[in-house]
Amino acid sequence: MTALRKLQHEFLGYLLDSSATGIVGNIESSPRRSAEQRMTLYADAYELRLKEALSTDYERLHGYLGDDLFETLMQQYIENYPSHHPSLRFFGRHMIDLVERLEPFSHLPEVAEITRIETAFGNSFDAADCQGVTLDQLAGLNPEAWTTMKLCFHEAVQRLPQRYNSFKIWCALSNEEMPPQKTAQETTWLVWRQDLVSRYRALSNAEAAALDVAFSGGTFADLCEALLDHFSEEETPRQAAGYLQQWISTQMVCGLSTCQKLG
Amino acid sequence: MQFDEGDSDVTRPFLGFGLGLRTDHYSYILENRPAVDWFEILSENYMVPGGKPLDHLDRIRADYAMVMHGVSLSIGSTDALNMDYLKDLKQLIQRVQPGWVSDHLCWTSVNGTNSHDLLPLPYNEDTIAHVVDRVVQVQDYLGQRILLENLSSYVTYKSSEMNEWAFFNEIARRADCHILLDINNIFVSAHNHHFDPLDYLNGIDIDRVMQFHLAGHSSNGEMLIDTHDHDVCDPVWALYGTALKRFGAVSTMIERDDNIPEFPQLRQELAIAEDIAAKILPAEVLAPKMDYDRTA
Ligand SMILES: [Fe+2]
Repeated sequence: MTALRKLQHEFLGYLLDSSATGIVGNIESSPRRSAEQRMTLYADAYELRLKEALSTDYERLHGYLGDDLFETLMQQYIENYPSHHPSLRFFGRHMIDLVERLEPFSHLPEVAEITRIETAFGNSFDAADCQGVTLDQLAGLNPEAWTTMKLCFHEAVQRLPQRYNSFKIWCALSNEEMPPQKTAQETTWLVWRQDLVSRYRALSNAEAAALDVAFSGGTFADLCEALLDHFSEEETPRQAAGYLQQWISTQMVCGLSTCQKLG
Repeated sequence: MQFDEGDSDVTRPFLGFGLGLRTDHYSYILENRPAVDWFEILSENYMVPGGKPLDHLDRIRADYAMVMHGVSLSIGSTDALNMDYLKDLKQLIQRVQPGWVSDHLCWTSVNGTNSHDLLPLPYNEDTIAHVVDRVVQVQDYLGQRILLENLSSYVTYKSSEMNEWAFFNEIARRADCHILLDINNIFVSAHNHHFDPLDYLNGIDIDRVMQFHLAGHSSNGEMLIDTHDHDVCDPVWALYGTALKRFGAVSTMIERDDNIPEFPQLRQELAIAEDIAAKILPAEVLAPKMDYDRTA
């Protein structure tokens, strides 16, 4: 190992764990400022910068947990998930892993749900752009193409199946209101991006089931079949077409693959 | 300290006077199209797949000249160059078509772990050879010269064998790269490491310098900290004037990253830089000109 590599290892080692003081022997002390004091400045700045990034990405989670518990969360995160991405934007991306795995958060299921909501909005914000499918393109399809048609969704589209009223809690925190008590409430929520703005809504069980099929690569025929659990045979095609039109008109769909080329 | 006035014949591209593009100011800029010669963007903020950041960037770029400034190149790291990062950077360069691209003479990561801080290097021959080799590789890959910027630093390594400006200048010469001189960082480091900032200015080759940064700092009692959360202070303005006398017309911008004022207030601060330059340099050299060959 070159001297420079050894020095960099020791420096970073100290930022990650200030009891690893190997770096201090490499630093000049001055009469007014010891090597340790000078290194503390870097360690403090490191922690502060990472905490700032987490506080920005998980503002609602912070609001829900309160300052003390969020501080614990940030410290656990910084200790367990050092940054492996050149951009701070992606530093907090493993938060869901922490809250599902480490105590006390792993005992609080709504915390994981709120984390998923904030992560979903973060993902949606700068997800890749796509040229959305238009209703005209849909109208131009041959009737036979409908049965074999598969959908490709915009990367911002995310389904959030939840067991608690976490979205209501999130909404209240977003509006700086007192969040409601946690209660069991099974709902699948949808986050997507329309005209560059992230949006959300609750899905009916039928629409959630239809989206599940579409997301897992099912054809429009498969989607209709899944809807038979929710609607009569007569109603189903109209309902399915209605969902499809809504998904397309809200810019959720980036591609339709059919056996034929789009006209 | 005797001050060396520069040779005013240096021809370099001159963009005029710019500001750092910050999200707080997006809507003001798009609605008011304020008179600013150019913006400096933080490259990493736009190395994302899509959405609003890139949309704003494109709309502002349509009306303003831009340069790109990165923080994660980690040119001094002993890890292999991060080719994924460089690929994303090159893609952003193609999108923005910036006047130039800069990063810092520092290291930020080792063993694949990022500190997200600009960490100083020991100033010795081994480090020079290491950094020069990497700058050459980066410039080859990007197909253009880059600018490296001096840091504010708070430690001195025992393995340093020369002063910062000798180290900096030697790397720029040998790698054939350009220099972004941060006037505030010279001031801050001069205070923290007890050197004369004029020695620093005099030790830098005039024709290597393409851009100046100005910024505010704060103090923790004994050390000055490069926080970019205050206005530029008077001694830094004075040092800026001195730098203009040596280096001539150099594209100048103010960096503000915290405690960010409304756009018009920041624009007024930039007018101070314009006034200082107008008193020191003839009007004809302060007309923006952008014709030069970027290829490395
Ligand atoms: Fe700077």
